[in-house]
Amino acid sequence: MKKKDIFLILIVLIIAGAFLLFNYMRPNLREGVVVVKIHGKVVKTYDLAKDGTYKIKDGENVIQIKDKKVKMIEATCPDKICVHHKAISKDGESIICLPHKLVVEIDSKKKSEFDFVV
Amino acid sequence: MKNKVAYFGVLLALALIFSYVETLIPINFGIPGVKLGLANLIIVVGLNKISTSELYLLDILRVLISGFIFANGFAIIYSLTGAIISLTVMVLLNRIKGFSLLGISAAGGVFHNIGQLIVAIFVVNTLSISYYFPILLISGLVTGIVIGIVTNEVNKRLKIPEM
Repeated sequence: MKKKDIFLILIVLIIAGAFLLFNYMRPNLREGVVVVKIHGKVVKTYDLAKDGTYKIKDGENVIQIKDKKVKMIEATCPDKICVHHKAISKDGESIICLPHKLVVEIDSKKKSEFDFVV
Repeated sequence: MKNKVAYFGVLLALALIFSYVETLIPINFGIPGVKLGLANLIIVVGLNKISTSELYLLDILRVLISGFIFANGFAIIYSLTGAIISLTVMVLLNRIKGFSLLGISAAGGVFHNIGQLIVAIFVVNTLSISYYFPILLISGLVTGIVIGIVTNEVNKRLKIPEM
């Protein structure tokens, strides 16, 4: 291992650390909406405060909202990475199912829209 | 040198065997794109042994063949982009004095993941996927360092002639 190697490893670690800290500092408001996007287009939004199980695209993916957390509980994709993903609750967190081009995202800023509807 | 084609074939076969071995390791980190990248070992070993154009050929062939045999066709786009970006960075660093194979391999691992993340951003058409960026950086770094250490051991024990 040479000097430049250590330098390179340190730079990567610092960048990764900065991003990790940024992700960690995201406000955990436990409110807002669950946005479901397919290929970047919003197809459905759900209230994070309302428990329930929802099928997306005829059950290709099934998400569950419980205790203000969202989890992917079923998927027909081969790798099941999205199913193994931990439940999300923070603003900006997401679960991604790459084979289905599907993103489940939390948006804490959109809470007010739902209040108006109710 | 003689037997160039034969050596190239041996390296390609080794890379494919490593790809197969990798499918047997049931590690699930719960994060897309995180794996050891054993086949990359052959590329790092070959870095100072075969010419740059042959390295690219070896890299592209192993991704295409292993992609068709062991994975679904769609995953090839991710692997190919990652592999080419990673190899380009490794070739460039290899030309700069002061980097050992360990650092070069670490950079290769990191850029392999960056390449895959870029494809993923285009596929799902959203930037929110960048949430995985720090995890992919660190996992690329760790696997790259591991591959670098193994490469040093391979080079010590196995006398692969320069071609």
